[in-house]
Amino acid sequence: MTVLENLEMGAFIFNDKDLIKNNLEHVYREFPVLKRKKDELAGNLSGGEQQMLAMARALMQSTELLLLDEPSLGLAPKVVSEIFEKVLKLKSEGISIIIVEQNAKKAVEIADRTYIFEDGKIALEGGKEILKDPRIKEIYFGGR
Amino acid sequence: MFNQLLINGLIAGAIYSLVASGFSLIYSICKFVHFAHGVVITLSGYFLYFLFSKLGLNFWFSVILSIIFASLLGFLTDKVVYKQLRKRKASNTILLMASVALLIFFESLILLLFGADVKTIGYIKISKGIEIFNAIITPLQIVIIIVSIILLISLFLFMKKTKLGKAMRAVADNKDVAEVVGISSEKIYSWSFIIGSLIAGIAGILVGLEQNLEPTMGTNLMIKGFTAAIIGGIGSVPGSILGSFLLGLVENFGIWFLPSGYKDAVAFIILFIFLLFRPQGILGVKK
Repeated sequence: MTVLENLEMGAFIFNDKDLIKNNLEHVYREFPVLKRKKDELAGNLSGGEQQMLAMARALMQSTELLLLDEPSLGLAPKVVSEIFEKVLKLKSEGISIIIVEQNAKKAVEIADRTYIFEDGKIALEGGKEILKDPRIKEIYFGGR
Repeated sequence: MFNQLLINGLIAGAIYSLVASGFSLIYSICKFVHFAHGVVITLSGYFLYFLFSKLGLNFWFSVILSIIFASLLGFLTDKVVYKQLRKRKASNTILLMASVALLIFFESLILLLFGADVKTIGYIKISKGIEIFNAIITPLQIVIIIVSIILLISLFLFMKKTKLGKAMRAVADNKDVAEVVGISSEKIYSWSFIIGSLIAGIAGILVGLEQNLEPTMGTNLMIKGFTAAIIGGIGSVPGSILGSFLLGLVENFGIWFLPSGYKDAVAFIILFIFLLFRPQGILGVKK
């Protein structure tokens, strides 16, 4: 399916044509690259662009809470920075975001609150100072 | 001779494409082989025979009822049989077995109700064919070609332009992501059966008028439609249409060199060649 079709399917639950059009324009403003490539097949986009399309598709639903599962997975460092900039921008627009992310340093930098999981339980929680906590190394590298 | 074989090939291709496109549509969305698709074709033909020739209803009214009946039948096989099996986490192999069972069940049912002898709908009087470019074609055959082209174009536009069509492609592409954005895959499965069976119903009527009715007609067509779908690339509706016309043409041009009894053999030789050297078909994507 093309980029545009993917975005339209993001708004599948809506029937209000004006609302869909507004959301589409909003998403195009956030991600100009998607507007340029709207008629291309989504499968032909680069990894970073596909990740942006996935986020854009979620935003088509007038999103209030965005869940991101490892948005940096398999992407080049430069692209990861771009994705995180987008996340920050969306946050500044009032969308609540929950990210599950292996790239701890980058994730903590942009997060208001951080929770670190170990064996499915919350082992540590805190703000940006959490990276300085010595226990974080133990959890990450199993240094016990 | 060449022109006659070309026209015969196009007629055969048009009929196969009606079978294969519906079958391929269901396969691409539900990801299992629905062999009972063939018997929907047969039942639609017999239903028209029952309404028009037995009960004496108006022809066009009977045609519309038969098409609705075929659609409903497809919808019900999905709801009553396949959906229940999916709920029990049945694998695609189990669904395939169930579809073969349904095929045999309905074929036997027709045999019980109508008997094994050939039935004629008898709406169209046997007429002399029209001669175009040194080839003979009957008015009904022209109708078959035109109806199939109109149907296939409508199916293409439906899948490309409408919201439901796009949602169907989304589920075919990736069911889990489609569900994340709020598309109910069960509903889409139902729609694929309704639309696929509707096309099968129309095919049943056209074939019934052209070749008369036999309990096994749908099964034979299903084998050809399945072959066409594999040649074209299983799961791709445009591919299955391409495969159908290719199969129809090759079958008929084969008679130029071989006795006409080898028609089916030619079809299966092509099937084997494709399975060996290009199993993904003409338009299929290698996985």
